Amino acid sequence: MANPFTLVPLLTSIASPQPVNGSAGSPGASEDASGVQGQPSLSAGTSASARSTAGSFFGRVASPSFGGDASLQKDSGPRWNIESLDAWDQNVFVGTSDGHVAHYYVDQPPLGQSFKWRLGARRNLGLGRKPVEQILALPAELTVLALCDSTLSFLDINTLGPVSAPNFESVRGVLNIATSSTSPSVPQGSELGIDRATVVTLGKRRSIQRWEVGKGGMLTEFPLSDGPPLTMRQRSSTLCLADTSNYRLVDLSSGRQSVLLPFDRSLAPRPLVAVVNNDEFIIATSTALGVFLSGRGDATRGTLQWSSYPKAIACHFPYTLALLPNNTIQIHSVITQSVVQNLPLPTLQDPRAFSSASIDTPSLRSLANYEPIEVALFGADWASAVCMTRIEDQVETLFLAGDAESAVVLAEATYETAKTAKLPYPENLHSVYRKAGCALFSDILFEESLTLFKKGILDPAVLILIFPDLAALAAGDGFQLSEASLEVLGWLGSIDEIVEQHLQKNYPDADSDIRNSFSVALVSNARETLIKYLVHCRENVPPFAPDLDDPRKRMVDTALMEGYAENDGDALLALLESGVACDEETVIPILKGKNRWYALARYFQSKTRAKEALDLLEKLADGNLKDKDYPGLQCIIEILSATSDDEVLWKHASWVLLRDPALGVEIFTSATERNRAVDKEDVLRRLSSISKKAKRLYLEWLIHESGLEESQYHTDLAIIYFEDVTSAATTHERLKELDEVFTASSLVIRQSFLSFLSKREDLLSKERLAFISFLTSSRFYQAPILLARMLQFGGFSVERAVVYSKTGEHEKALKIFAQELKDFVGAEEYCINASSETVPETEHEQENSDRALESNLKRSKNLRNALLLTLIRLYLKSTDRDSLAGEVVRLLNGSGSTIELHEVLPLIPDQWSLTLLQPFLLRAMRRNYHDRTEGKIIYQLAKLENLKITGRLFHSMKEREPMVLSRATACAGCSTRITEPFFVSLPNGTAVHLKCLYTEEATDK
Amino acid sequence: MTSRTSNVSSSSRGRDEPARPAPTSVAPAPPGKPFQVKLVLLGEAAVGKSSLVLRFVNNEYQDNKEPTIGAAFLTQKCRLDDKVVKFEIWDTAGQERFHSLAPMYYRNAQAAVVVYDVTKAPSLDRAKSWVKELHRQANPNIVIALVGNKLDLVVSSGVPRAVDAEEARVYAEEMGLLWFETSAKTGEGVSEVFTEIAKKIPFDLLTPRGRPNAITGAAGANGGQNSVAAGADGRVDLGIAGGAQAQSGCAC
Repeated sequence: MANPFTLVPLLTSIASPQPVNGSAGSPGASEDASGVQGQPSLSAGTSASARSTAGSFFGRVASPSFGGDASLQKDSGPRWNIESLDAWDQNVFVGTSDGHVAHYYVDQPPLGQSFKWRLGARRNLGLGRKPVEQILALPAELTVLALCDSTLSFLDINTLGPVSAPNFESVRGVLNIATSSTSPSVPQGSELGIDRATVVTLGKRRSIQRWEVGKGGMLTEFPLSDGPPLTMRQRSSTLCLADTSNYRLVDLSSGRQSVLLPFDRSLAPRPLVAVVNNDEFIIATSTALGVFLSGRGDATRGTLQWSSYPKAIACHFPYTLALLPNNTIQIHSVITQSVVQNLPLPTLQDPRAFSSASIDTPSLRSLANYEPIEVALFGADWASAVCMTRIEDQVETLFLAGDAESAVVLAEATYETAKTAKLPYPENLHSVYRKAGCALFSDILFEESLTLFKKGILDPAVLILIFPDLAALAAGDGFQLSEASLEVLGWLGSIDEIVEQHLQKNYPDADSDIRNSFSVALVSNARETLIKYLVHCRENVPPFAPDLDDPRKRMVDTALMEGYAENDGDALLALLESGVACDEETVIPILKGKNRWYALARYFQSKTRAKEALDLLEKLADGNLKDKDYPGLQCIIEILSATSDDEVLWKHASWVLLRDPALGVEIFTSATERNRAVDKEDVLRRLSSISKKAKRLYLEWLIHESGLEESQYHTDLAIIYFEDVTSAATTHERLKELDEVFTASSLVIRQSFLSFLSKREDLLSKERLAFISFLTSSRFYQAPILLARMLQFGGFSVERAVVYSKTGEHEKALKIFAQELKDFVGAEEYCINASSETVPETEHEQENSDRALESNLKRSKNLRNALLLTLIRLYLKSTDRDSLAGEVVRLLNGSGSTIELHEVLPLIPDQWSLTLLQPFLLRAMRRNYHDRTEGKIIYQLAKLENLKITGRLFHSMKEREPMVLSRATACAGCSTRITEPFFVSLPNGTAVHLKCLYTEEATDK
Repeated sequence: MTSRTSNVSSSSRGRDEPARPAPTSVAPAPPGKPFQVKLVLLGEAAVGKSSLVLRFVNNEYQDNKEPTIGAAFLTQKCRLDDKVVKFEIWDTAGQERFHSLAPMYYRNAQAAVVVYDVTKAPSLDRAKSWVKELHRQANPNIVIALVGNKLDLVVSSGVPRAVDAEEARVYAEEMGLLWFETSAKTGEGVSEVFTEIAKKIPFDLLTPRGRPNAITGAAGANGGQNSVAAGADGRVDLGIAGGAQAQSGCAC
């Protein structure tokens, strides 16, 4: 671990001339003194010594222009020591052992390297020669607090005279003071920006008081149960104090106290507390351990151990400082709790204690390489700033030492502190992360570096540029790397160098084969990391927005594309899908170079270069190009479905149609804008010239999916089916043969011709089935044309029957079933289907739907009965009618059971036995009887109703005057004259048309 | 925080840790936030508290471990059923001079592991006095496990057993403690201790917390002794571990 801390003298030999340092302020003695004071600390510093010339801080007073020495020398009679100290920027406030407070001003001449101090004000507190135990500068209140002889004085920061406010003369009985932050340089969170004076906490013998400086005086007071506070530190509203036996926490908002740890004063001289961080303290146990705890009293970290019990402790996050009795400052890391530095001090210096400080380093040029000073160390007549090397420099030093782990820990801790302290996110930490990331990357820890690159918001261009091939791709892309990015690029170098160095270091003896394979693997790992980072950059555009301008975005996309093209087809397609920022001149060669033909086609497609896309896809389909991502013709269909370029469309559509008509037709049937508006005639014409199958599919789609009812389409489709059947059959004999096969088989199995067909696998059966089902389902084809074609070819049986049914020639149809085919099942089905097909006539549609349905049912029932009768007649007329007796009886007992008895009975041959017909007869007679009885009931009910109404009419006629219609009498409903013999006289004396009655009532309601 | 740190440290050093899964960025994120359990280890000096923790957190064992100074802080995440439990483990020093520190660490603890050495009878007495102190001063709902460590010495090294298992078990039962015998050296029964503790924690009373109340440090007070805790990536699956060692832990 590097040494993060250095001491830089602020004040030297400010007391009267001493034997050790000789004549303070004499230029001749300066070298000697500086040697004593500055040398050890600076040599302990690391990079600091290299950057700031060694002599820079050794400056001494001396300059005649500064009057400090003279004034000091004047009262250089009795000797005094610095007893307490506070530093705020260039001001150092000192409390002395003889009851004085003094203000020193530290400066650095414009050209000089050395600091000079001069005395500003110096004043006796008027409390005798008692030591000033604590001094606290509150610049925001222009006040200095000094604690001397248990008396707290409020002093003006300029004159060090008492402040003039009435409430603030002095407070007696004070043992200890604390403010909410021990390092005023850290903004105090919510207390900042609020118009509120600084509140100090005073520890008294039996109580804690809170005072508002410069305004209202005392705010609150809490009693202290156990003894006076020996030491106390405050962070926000929590006070950590030590009394004579315990460490305690006091919640200053509620006054609640809790005991933390006992302190054994027989083991250690005095309890010590320091503020570590936001809401965190460290306390020293009497066994020389440092215990970290939160403001709630919970332990927060492991303990740390000092070599011996310290004289004083302080904290400059992320380190703790302990002044040990052997004049060493032992420095622990708060994060790891291990010792990181032992900073020895010359024995003669006799350091007394740490004090808080708040020195913004830019105010003193020579401190510019350090973090803002938070801690000062003082001795009898000197004070030094305890300077912490900048975190970035520490991180860098750690990297130089090859300790990436500690560097990351340090950077992370700093980051966490920045977050918890709600400080503005330090921009320079980004660069720390980048640097750390680079170190890990260079160590081949790609995955780990990724996290840091993300945190460091690394310019993605940098990571791209380390890959020579990608750099070449991106070259000439007019963008400029920022200076910071160039620096990072410098750290990283090229991936080949990184890998080469790694192999040199770790596998110096490996033979070239192994090294090559390692190197390939490592580079590909690095590429994966790159891709992950680029994906991250793409997905997290907002934080990158300032950096991810257009050329950079182009570069990211290019590199990603290149990466994916190498080995991830799916990701490549997704990337192209999401849109890439790079131009075609970049994209096309990359995709071509990696044989990503399918991706290229998709890219063309996205760029509305359908023609090129299609050319590629056709080549892929034909196998002239190979790409495993190519999913098949479907993608061509997609493009063609969307294209509006007729030339392209038909050129490629015919190509697809010839290969796969079913798929090809999807081009025209998919739900696209174009297909909705397309000229269907034109498509049909073109399709019929390309492929009959396509035309058939398209027509099927038009009719079944789009529901077009144009007779032409239906007829065309029917004819196509017809032709498909004839081409499958070749001659009408084949059709006949099929019919004969059926007739023969139906002797064995009772089945209809349709179900016979549907069970057969041969093409002819399938085609016929398709033809028949179309003929059955469609109502719009021109039956005569088809009939003519079928008769001309000959042999179509069921087909003709279906067409006959459409033209209403049911008897012909039934004849085909009953006589030609002997398809008795089919015949029966025909009777049922043909009758149920009857659609409501237009006049009925306007009527009440219930009534329409009712009459419809009645009509279809009638039709069915008629058809069944026809069928029965056909059977009975046939030559072998006795063998058909079974069929007839089945019909009568089944579907025909509603046929009127009197219509059937004359047809039945006399010799048929009664038993055969018994079920039918029984049912028919029962139904007849039922109908008759029901009719009687209905008749009587109606008669009753009629009688009732007649009665009411009679009564009302008797009660009411007859109504006389004159020419002037108008209908109350429609306001026209009533001329009809029937009208309605309403109770209110008006008359309405019969037809207006309901509308009248409706309007009344 | 800790998990990041350990991730970097373990991989950058290329340390051999066969039992731990390699850190990988694709580790599935746990559903919801982990339940944090503050757990403190107490017991006489040199009974193996730190070794027990080291076995549980890093699945490592070191011979001749230096005594702990003060207290070390380590974390380990575990999966228990559908929950993720993050143990915040305070490994305290056993030496008597550090006794006064202990309340700092058992204050607000949800669990305590009180360890004794099965080969040293006085260590059980010390353990009993810790239990008494916990009952008196710690969180009343604290789950306490009494653990007899160094079982390997009895099993394979022929060192005579000084604490009768039955005696300890009966004592634990009387006091309402969980009881285990373990060997940090062989790993026997170790993860079972933490599994059973996690099962007994009344999680209904706890809500998962995003920000730990401890600012997670990594190493103990042993100077250069690096005891970086295993983080999210080195998660131990308690369900599996518990099942695999079922026969060894509670055989009595």
